Amino acid sequence: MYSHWSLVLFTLVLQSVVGSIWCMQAVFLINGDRIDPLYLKYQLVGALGLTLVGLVAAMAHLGTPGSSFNAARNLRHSWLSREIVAVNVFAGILAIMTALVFVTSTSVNIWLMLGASLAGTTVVYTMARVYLVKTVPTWNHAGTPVTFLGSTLLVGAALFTLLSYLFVGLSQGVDQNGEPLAGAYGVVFTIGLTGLILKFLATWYPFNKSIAAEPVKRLQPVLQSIGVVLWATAIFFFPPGQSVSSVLFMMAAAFLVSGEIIHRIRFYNNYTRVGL
Amino acid sequence: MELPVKRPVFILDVQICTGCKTCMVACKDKNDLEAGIRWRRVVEYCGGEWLAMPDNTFRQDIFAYYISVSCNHCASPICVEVCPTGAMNQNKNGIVTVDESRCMGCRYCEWACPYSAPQYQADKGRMSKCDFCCDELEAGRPPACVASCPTRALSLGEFDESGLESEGSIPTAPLPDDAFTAPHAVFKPHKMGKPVDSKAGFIANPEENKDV
Repeated sequence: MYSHWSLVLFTLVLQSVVGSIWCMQAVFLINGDRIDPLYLKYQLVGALGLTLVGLVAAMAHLGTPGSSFNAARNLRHSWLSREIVAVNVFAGILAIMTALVFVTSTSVNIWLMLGASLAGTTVVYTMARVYLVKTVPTWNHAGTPVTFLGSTLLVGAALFTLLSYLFVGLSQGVDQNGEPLAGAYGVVFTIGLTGLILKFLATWYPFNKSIAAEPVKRLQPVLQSIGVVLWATAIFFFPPGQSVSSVLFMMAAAFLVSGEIIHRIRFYNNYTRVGL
Repeated sequence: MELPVKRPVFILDVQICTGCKTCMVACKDKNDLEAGIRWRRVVEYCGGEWLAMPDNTFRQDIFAYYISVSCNHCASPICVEVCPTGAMNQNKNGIVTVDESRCMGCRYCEWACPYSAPQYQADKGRMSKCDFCCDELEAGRPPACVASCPTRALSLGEFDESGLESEGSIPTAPLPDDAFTAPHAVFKPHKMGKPVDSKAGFIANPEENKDV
């Protein structure tokens, strides 16, 4: 298969952004309007910026990017067409949310947040369906959507926590009174852990036998397991805001992302089509 | 476009095909295809072995045959289904073509087609494929590959509503199962032809079919 670096970047970035939005939705549901708008600004700017990076990566994959405006012409049959529309709708909602938070300096509109979550869900679903091609048996099985969902949850939760560390200095964010948000880091960590479990299922479960024989397959779960352990140590054993917590989480993020990149490269290298 | 042949179909008699690749060269010449672009490909499929017998004799089941394949202009073209821009389209004559003005070169059709029919042209950044020599058909002439075949193994027919089986078409390895895309092409099998799922043989000339 030809070089797929742009697709590795596009799929990973979009899935991580969707996952971070899902985490934001979860935190929003728990804490409501108490969330400090500044915290949301950093999260949304980070999410929107990465989405734009993903869109540039997707364009880099095309032979004729100038014709990409035609990409919505086959919504009736093509999952790729639907994915492109879903990504653009998701990016549009993120842009509106980000603009409103900056202009009004208030918390996020609940309906926009829900819209972003649903649009993000559509992105991950259509992205998985693009790879469920009947003539590509190494992709056309339940392991593909399960691993995509797992990646979204794991790396998305890590991205959400990373943006908290980088811009707010806390792992969990604060409300408008400066009080820590209720259950934010614990709930987000649980989301990430769920993603790791799903990826284990997708990698080891019999329906994914097509890549079961590769020895390098063990590198991704090992790296990401170490990442999750470091993450748990950072947020449960050290107070948020301490440099030790930050360093531990940065190491965790490095392990998680490197494992994800390895897994995604293997996914594309696993392409095998029936016939000639 | 009105064609003399309403629903053209390639017919290949695998028993007769010698693998000379004249059809492949004729296609490249007629369409000015650059190196690496192969709208028609000739696949050599072979296998078998020699076995030493207890009485110091040998038994062999060696086989080899050639299959010339281009786009099969399928009844359920997966390239048309997956193409996001609608560049891959099928006209009323069943011919699948690519509208280069719409194609953005995502190569999704290349991922999906089990016959490697869509070919990416790097200099244009777009996909290209066999178009059944529509211009030749309109003029009442056969496609370049059919016209050039020295043994008449490759010929032009018209789709029979009663089904391709009536033409003696039997899916043969290394071609994929017809169920994937319902190809509109007739492959009359070689006497040593293997079923589609057979692992008895291998493609002996992969470098002549795609850049490896």
